[in-house]
Amino acid sequence: MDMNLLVQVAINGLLTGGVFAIIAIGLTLIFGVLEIVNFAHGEFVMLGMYASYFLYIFLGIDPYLSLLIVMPVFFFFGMLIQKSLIERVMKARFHIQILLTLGLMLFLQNFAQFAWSSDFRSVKLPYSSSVFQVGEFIINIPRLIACFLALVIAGVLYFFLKKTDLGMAIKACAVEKEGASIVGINVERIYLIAFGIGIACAGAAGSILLPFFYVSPNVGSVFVLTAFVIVVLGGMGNFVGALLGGFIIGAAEAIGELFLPGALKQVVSFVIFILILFFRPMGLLGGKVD
Amino acid sequence: MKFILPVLILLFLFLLPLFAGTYLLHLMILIFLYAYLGQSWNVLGGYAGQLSLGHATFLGLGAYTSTLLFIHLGVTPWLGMFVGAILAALCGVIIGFMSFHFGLKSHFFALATIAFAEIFRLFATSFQAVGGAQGLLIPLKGNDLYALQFVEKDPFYYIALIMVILCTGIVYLLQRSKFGFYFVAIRENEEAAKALGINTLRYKVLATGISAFLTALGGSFYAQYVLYIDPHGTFGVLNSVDIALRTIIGGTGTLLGPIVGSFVLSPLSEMIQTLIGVGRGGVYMMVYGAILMIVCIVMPNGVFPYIKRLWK
Amino acid sequence: MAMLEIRGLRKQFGGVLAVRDLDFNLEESEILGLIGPNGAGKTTVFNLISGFLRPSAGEIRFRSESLAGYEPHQVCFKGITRTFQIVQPFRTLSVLENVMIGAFGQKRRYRLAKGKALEVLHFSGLLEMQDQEAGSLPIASQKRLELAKALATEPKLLLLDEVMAGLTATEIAEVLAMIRKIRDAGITLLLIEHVMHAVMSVSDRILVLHHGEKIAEGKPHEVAKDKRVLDAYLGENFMLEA
Repeated sequence: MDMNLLVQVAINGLLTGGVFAIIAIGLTLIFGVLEIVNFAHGEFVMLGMYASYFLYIFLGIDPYLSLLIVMPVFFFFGMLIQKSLIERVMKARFHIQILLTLGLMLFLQNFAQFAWSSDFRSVKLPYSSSVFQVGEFIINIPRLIACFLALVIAGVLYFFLKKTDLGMAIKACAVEKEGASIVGINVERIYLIAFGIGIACAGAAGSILLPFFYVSPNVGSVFVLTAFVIVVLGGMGNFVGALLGGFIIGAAEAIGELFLPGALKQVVSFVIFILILFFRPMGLLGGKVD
Repeated sequence: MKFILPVLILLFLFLLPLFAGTYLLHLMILIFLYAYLGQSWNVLGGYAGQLSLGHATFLGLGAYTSTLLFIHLGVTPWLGMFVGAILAALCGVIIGFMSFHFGLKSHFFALATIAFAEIFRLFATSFQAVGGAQGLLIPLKGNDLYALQFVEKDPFYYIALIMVILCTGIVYLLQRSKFGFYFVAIRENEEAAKALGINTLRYKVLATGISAFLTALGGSFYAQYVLYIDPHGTFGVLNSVDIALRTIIGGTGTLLGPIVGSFVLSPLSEMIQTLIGVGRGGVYMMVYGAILMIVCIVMPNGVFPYIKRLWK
Repeated sequence: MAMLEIRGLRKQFGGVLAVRDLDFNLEESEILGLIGPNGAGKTTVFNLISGFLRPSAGEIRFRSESLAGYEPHQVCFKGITRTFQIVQPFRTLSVLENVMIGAFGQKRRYRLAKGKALEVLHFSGLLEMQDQEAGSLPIASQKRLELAKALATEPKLLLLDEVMAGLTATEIAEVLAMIRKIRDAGITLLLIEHVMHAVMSVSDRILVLHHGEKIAEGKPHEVAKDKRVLDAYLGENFMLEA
């Protein structure tokens, strides 16, 4: 086995993993605070991709710049979804909660198919193929920027959660809902905000992925399962865990692709998933367990 | 008095093929099949209360086993389906044991079941020996009882109807047995169940095995009815959702829930499909998804409580 | 040989020693009352005996057999059934079904289990409520149901955890009568109680725990006068009366 190839592949995997981490961070935030398993999460990534795609095609806005538009819009979009749909099943059994998000997933995925057909689309930016070299290894510039932006967003969120009042209120709700409301925190408002942030992250991931990933209505399903693996790996509700998990899974899948033919590479993620669920359900860094 | 209505309905159903057209028979077969699958799921998801979103695993195991045995060894599907069912039960027991031994519950268990189904799907896609991504075509034999193939829909209709009745009968007996009571106890309050002498691990695993066995039989029937199986159509996540859906909507843990759910959902989805047409891709599924969400919001306890109230 | 022998029982939770070097015997057909201020470790002892918790050290022997490593359901098979301090009914099931679940422990067939359950319901005075949903019962009835479920498993030793908490004086008297009948039927009882006059009046012996340690053991009237016990309870404003 060529060590260089392995490292190269691992590097690519790590870079992609950074973006997966953003998707996972949104998901883990939603699960941590609302305790909802958001199966529709991947669809918001997909919608983010389409949003940035059209912003580029019609207004010439660079996908990385469109982040500035996509994130706030998706934040409000998320709040809308939370208010109109999610909130209504917050008190229902989790069977129903899961079914709701599954229904949402089906709706959004097929809406995209209806509106924009199942054609694969992609954008070719002037720097799409740009690379720079570090020793023996090639680093693809868009992927590097993607990873960098993902880390920036993660950093901002981390700071927000740790240092601001609102952020601490969110953390309080994640840990102890009743206690939080007794102390005067408006739990419903927190749910709205947390869900909004989660969706904003998903949308952002879409924008960031656009320069080097194809767009189609079905990409959401691909992302959501990987995102779940990452979330469980890092620990449900654990922010840093999602980040770490993203990198690990990104690398693992990339390396897996070297050894396993075609579709089987995903088996790696699922096997890791099952092993974590069995042996360390709180994840590597500790998170919520039922 | 209470028995007259069900008996009349059954009589009607048995006589239906005499005057129903092909399309209606097809619709009814689907209703029965999903009611059957939903009832199988009900044993684990409804009575034992462990939400599985991976029953496609067992559907696929049943379908693939009986099909492969037929294609390669000429084994009659009537036998092959039981081999598939036993295999599925074994897998169910292993999956169940591993999951419950490590204490997986609710969300985590559901996610684990999805993962298992996906692993099977990926394996089925990757190996040509089992048909790969293209799937398997069952060689046409026309009217052949041995091969469990019929040209007309009527025989399939009756087989499906009998399967639903038998399955419901099994669940009815289960309900009144020690197993049934223990499953429900585990669902309602696992700690209290343990204190009363219930080996919760053993019974959860048992429920998984029974549910898997029954589901796989349905998978074999499905294979024989459509004569073509592929990884996505059997092991895919959507199948797991479809299986669980009827029961959840009809009312989990109730005897008639899966049947009610299937009678409500299947015609509904057929109607939408006809009205909107599958052509302009996605609209049908969009509406399906929307209805799913509406049902969750408006009827979180399923349709059954409403019907129970109407009955009174 | 005593029915239940506890030797050197210890339970540590992280830095907290919940039960410390506990030694006691429980004789057959005895009613032993386990009392102590809140947080004394009483329910922990129940959890240890019934297999819900593993001891950090020490021995639990039931009829000369060690219960080490037994799961809760296995402990129940051996003949020890416990109730929970916070009642744990099977909420959406009927009262009858609740008790039947207990009965199935000893009876395999539906008819036999139902028969046994009805018998127990009659004994517990819950027969009229048999078809009511367990979750909808008033608290006193739920406590009886808790007791009935346990009785249906035909235990040799019954562990009752604060079965009288929150009951009126009449209800308490009824429960005391039931407890005496249970003992007359040959079942040994270990009771955790805070309702002092009740536990003092029905118990043959009393064991007092404080901070996980046994501080007194003996007949009710002896324990009521014990200085260490009075000191322990002084902070709780309890009146000990036999």
